[in-house]
Amino acid sequence: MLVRHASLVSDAVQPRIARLGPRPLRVHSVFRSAINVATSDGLLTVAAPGAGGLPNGIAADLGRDWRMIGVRPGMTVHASRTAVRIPGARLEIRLTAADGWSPRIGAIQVGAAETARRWRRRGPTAWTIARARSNAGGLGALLRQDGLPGGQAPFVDRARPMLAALTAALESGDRGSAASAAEGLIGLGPGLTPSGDDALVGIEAALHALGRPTAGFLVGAAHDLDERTTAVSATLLRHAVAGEFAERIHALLAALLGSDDAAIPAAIDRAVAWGATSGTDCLVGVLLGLDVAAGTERTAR
Amino acid sequence: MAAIRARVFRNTYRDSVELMQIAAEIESMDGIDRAGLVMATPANREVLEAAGLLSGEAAAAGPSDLVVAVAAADDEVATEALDHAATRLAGNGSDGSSEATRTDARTIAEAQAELGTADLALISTPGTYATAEALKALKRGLNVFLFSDNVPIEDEIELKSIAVAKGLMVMGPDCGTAILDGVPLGFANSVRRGSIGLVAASGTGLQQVSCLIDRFGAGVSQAIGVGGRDLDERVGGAMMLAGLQRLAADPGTDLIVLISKPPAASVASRVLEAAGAAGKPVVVNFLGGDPAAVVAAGALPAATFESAAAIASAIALGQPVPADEDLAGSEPDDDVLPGSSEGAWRIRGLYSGGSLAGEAKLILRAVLGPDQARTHEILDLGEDEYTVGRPHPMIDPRLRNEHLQAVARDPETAVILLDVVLGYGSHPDPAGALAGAIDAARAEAASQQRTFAVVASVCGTEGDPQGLASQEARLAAAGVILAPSNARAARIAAKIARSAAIPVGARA
Repeated sequence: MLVRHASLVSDAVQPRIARLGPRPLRVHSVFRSAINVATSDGLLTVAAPGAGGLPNGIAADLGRDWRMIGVRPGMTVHASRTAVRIPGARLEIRLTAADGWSPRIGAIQVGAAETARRWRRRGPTAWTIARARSNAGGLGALLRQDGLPGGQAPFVDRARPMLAALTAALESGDRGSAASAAEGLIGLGPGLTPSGDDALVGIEAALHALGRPTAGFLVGAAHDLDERTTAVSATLLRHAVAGEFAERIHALLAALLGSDDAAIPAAIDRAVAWGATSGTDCLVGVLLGLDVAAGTERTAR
Repeated sequence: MAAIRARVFRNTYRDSVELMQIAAEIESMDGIDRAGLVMATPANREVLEAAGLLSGEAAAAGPSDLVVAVAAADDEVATEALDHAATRLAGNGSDGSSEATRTDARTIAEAQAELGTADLALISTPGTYATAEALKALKRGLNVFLFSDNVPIEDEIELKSIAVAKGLMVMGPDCGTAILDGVPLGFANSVRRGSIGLVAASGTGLQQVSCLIDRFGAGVSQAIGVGGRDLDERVGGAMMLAGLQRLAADPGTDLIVLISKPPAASVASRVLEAAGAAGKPVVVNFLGGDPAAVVAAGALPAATFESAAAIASAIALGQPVPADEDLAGSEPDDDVLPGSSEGAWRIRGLYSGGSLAGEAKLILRAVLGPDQARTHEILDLGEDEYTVGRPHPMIDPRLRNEHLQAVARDPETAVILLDVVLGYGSHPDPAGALAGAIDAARAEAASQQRTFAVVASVCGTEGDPQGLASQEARLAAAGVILAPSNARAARIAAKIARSAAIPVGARA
C-alpha cells in the first residue's frame, strides 16, 4: 500500500465525509494532477498542492502524472475522517497531518466603504491590465473586443447579453432577475468547467467579498445542476452559492481589493494562468462582480 | 457541399488545456470550416444547434459527455477530423512528450536479464515511485538516470549515499539531460564527441555549454547531469564529486568543466579541493559565485556558460585561453541595436530554460547594476507556477506565445529576450512556432505606431533534429536579433534598454 500524506484539506470536506458515512464512493475521473471522487453530494477532489486550496479539495502530492499510478474511473474509494483509500490502486491518502483551510470568503466588515471606493478608483486600471494579459479563449473575448478565431465565438455572442442582463439586475439589487439572467450562463461554453459557470463563480466571489445583499443570488438558478452542467462545475457552483471558493480566487480578490496597487498585475497574471480559459473566465466574473458591488460606473467594454 | 458531423465520447473528462489543444488541432486541419469540442450541457447543445453543428447522437448527449462537432468541406475530411479527436482522446492523454519506446520488459530485473550488459537504468516514473525503482536499480549494480521530479530530498540523500558506497552514479532526481558515451538522455543535444568532460547541476546550463563547445569546434567526452539539488548542503555534492572523480580517471577526458549555481560554502570547498586534485585542468562555472576561491584552488573560473565553453574549448584545441573578464566585458556593436518607441524601456525575458533565465538575470545585474536590473523582468516559464496543467514550454510553445502577445501589447516593452532550446525531446520547430507569434505581435504593435526589439539565442547544434542553422534563419527572417549565446543575447538586451529613456519613477 502506497501511503501519502495530504498537505491541506478544505474545511468543507470533513463535514461532507462525515455526512456521507461509511458507504463506498467511486473514482469519477483522473487527470494529470487531480483525482475526482463522486459522492451523492458532488465531487471530492484530490489535487496536487500546486492547485492551491479547493473548496471541495484535498491537496496531496501523488507524483508527476496521476494518470499513471493505477487509479481508474469507477474504482471503489473509502473516505473517512483520517484517510481516503483506493484499494484497487493500493493507494492511501492520510488526512491526519494536513492543515485545515477555510474556503469561505467572508464580507469585509471594517473599511468596506473604503474598499469599495478604492475599487472605483483602481477598477479601470485592473480592467486594462486584464485586457492586456488575459488569453483570448473563453470569455477573454469580452475583454479584448478584437474578434476571435471561429469555434468559440458563438458562446461569447450568447454570453454577452446574458452577462449584461445579470449585472443590470445585480445593480438594482434584484436577486430574482439576477437568478433568471444567470440560468442561461450555466453550462455555457468550452472547458471542463464551462466559461459561463466560471464567470458566475467569479461574480459570486466578488459579491461575497464586498458583503452585498445580492451575494448568494445563484441559489435561485442553481437547481438541477447535474443535468445542466458538468459534475466538476456543478460542485463548484454549489460551493459558490455557500460562499466557498478556491484559494486562487481568494488571492485574486485580496490583491484587487488590497492596499498595494503594484500587486495587481502579478495577481492577474496568476489568475489567467489557471487552466485553459477558466482563469480568464473567472477573472471576467470577478471584475464584473466588483464593479457591481462597488457601484462603479461601467463604460462600454 | 459542407458536411456536418459530430461524435459523442461518453463520460469523457479531460482537462480544459487538453480539450483546447485538440480543438486547435482540428481547427487547423485543411478543409475544416468550424469545429466545436465541448461538454454536452444543454446550454452548449443549444449553441451547437444554433451554429448548425448539432447532428445525430450529439442531440441526445448529456453534461458528462464530450461532443466533438465539425463542419468540413466533405465527409472524408469530417471523418478524418473526428478520427483524430478519437485517437487523441483514446490514449492516456498525450502532452507531446511521450515518445518513449516500449519494450517488453516490465521490471528492471527483466530488462537487465534481456540486455545482459546494461549498466544504467533511466527512471522517469512519477516521483512517488521513483525512489523504490532507483533502489532496485542500485541493488542490481546499475547506474541511475533519474528524470523524475518530486523526489523528497531525504530520498535523494539516501540514494546517493548508497550509490557512493557501491561506486555507482545517481544522476538526478529531476535530471533533465546527460550525454553518456555519446548517447543523449533526456533533453540533450547532438554534440560532437571530444575530450571535454562536463558535470552539471543545471539542465539547460549543461545544454548551453555543450552546444557552445560544439560551436567552438571542440567536443564532449561525457556530459553528466547530477540534478539541481546535488550541491545543496544536505546532499553535499555527492554526485558532482563522484562525476569529477570518474572524469579525472577517464582516459577519454582531457579537461573537466563543472557547472552549477553557487553551492553552499562547505560543499564549494570540498568540490574545489577535489577539482584542484583532479590532475587535469578544471573550469569551474559557479554562476554568480566568487572567482577568487576558484583561482585559489588552482582551477579556472568562468562567469557565464559561454565563457566556460570558450575557455574549455580553447584548452582542448590548444589555443590561447581567453580571460574570463574579456568574455564577460565584450559589448555588442551599436549598429546591431534598433531604436525603440517612445516610452518603451523595459526588458521582458520569456525563458523556457531555468538556468538560462538565471544567467540572464545575473548579466543584467552586472551590466545595468542591481537597482536598474530589478526594473526589468525575466520569467522562467518552465517553473511549476506556469506549468500546472500545461506542458513544459520547451515542448509546447503556446504558453510562451501567450506571454509574448501580452508583453508585446505593453507600451513599456522595449526588448523581448528569448531562449530557443533545440535537441532531442524539445519541440520539433520551436523557431517556427515563435516566429509566427512574433510576426503577429509586431503587426499589432505597428498598428499603434509602436515597435520593439526581439533578441534571442538558439541553444542547439547542426546535428540536432531541428537543425541550428535553419532554426536561426527562421528567427532572423522574423526580424529577431540573434546572438550566438544566451549571455550575449542578454548583453544586447541590456544595451538596448540602457539606450532607451527610462521614465521617472518606473519600477518593476
